[in-house]
Amino acid sequence: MSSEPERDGRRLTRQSLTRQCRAFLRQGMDDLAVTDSSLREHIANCEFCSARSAARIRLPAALSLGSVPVAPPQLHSAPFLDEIRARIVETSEATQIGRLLSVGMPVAPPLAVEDACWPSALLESDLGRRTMAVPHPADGPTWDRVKASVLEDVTSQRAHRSRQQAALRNRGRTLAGVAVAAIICGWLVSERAQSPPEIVITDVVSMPNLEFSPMTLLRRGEQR
Amino acid sequence: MLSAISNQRRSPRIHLQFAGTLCALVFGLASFGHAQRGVSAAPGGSPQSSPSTVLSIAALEQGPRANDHTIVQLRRFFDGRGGVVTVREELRVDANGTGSPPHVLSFLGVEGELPASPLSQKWAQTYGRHSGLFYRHGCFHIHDLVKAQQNYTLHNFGVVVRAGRTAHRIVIFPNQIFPNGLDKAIWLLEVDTATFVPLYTAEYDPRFRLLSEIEAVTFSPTVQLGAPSPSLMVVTPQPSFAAAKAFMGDPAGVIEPSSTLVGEYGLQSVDVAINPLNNRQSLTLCYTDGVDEFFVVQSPGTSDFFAGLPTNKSATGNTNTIARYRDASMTVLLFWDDTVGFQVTGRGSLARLDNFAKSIYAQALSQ
Repeated sequence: MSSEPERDGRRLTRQSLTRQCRAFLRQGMDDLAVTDSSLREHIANCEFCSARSAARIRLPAALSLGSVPVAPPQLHSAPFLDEIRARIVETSEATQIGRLLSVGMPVAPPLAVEDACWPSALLESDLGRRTMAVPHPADGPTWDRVKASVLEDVTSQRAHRSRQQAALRNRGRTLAGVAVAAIICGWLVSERAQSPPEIVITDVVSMPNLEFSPMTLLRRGEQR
Repeated sequence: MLSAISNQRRSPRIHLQFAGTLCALVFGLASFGHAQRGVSAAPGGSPQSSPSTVLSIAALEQGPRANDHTIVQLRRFFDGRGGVVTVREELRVDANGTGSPPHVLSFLGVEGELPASPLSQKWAQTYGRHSGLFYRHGCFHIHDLVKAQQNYTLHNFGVVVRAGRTAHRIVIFPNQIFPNGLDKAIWLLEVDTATFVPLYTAEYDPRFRLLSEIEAVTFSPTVQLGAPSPSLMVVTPQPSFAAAKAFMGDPAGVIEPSSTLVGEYGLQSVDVAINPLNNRQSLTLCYTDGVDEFFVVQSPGTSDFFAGLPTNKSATGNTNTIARYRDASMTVLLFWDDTVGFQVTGRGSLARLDNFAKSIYAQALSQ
């Protein structure tokens, strides 16, 4: 398949195009109103260029999507489509491939509901009788006892949960108290250990008047 | 009084002579070659044959213990403001080989003062109450021979005459240099060559300031003790801190200081003193390095020294104050805890007393 254009029934090559033809392909295809007079004259005289100039004007209208026809409403009808599909199937069954498929992949029709039944041995067994027997409704006192039993059970469970929650709360409070006491004791101990008493020495300018001071006596013989 | 003033004028001249001797010791010790530890050559360079006549620290300890003696001597007290009071006293010692022989220290008078003057009467009362303290802690003694030999060196400066007796002039110099320099006293002594009893004692601080002085006027190697006059201050020696505490009735708040904090010093004696005026007791612990001493006094039932002063507690309420008085001659550190008044006191240059007082205070606070 060749991509080269043809001119007057013979294949065009790059060498067979004239300079005016190449100028038209380069400029005139984009410019509908060709302003160059020499080029306009060439288009009028050149069959190749005039054919393409005319095609350029017709093609946009031909390619417009606005001219697509609307499908008829019967195509959206399910029975109509089913008829089409049935006709296709009937047609296909009559062909050779239809016959091969019917032989190779036979289709068993489903059993009718009225034909399906339980085995008689099963229905006649003790289990079958019990299953098919309609139970007698419970009498009022029985239902009362059941109701009372259920309520009692619910009440006892609720009380048990309450006791458990109370015990957990008490245990939690006790543990929290012990933990707080331990933290406070630890803090106090650490405070005492970490901050030894600060002792400062302050100078006094005169000797305090003491009741008994050995050095004061030895040095000065002073006594109170 | 005029005589006392005359004493004040005369003393500096005498002291300058001794200070010159000490300076010569310090700056010329190496060249003299006299420095010996414990034992020194006899005057004139001839060694002594008898151990009792060998000048040494041991001889200084044994001499006064082995020889009776009676001395009339002058003791000078310096009041810290440049004033001097000279007291004439008589010391009679009936030696018995121990460090606490029977003795009598009698007040004879204040030099330059009439016997009936107020000053004489005041000093007579002081001697009547504290003569025992003056003898035990106010004279030069070798309190602990082993410690003294470890901590001091004896330097011999030849022979002099004192109170009509031939005497060795010696210097007892401390060996240990405290981290910030010498902090103990330097002793200049003149000891009788026959008995090694001190006839002159001068105590200097590391800056050669005279702190105390005792000068013998007459010396006799005999004694007639007589009946000692009863002391007004009752001082009872105790064998240990526990015994002293029990003797005092086990008062609360009294503590036994840790002896590991005083370096080369060790506990020498434990005394309980009772003031006859108010019957108040004081526990006195005496620490020594062989020669030097300091004291820890605990007085139960004492009111807070600083109760009348504005508090200086910190924001944490955890500040405790020690009041310190310090001059060249003495250091006194005072604090109070749990009804007990504490007093740590020693010589002025003994800076290590600060930390010892703090440790005792912390120990008291932790009780």
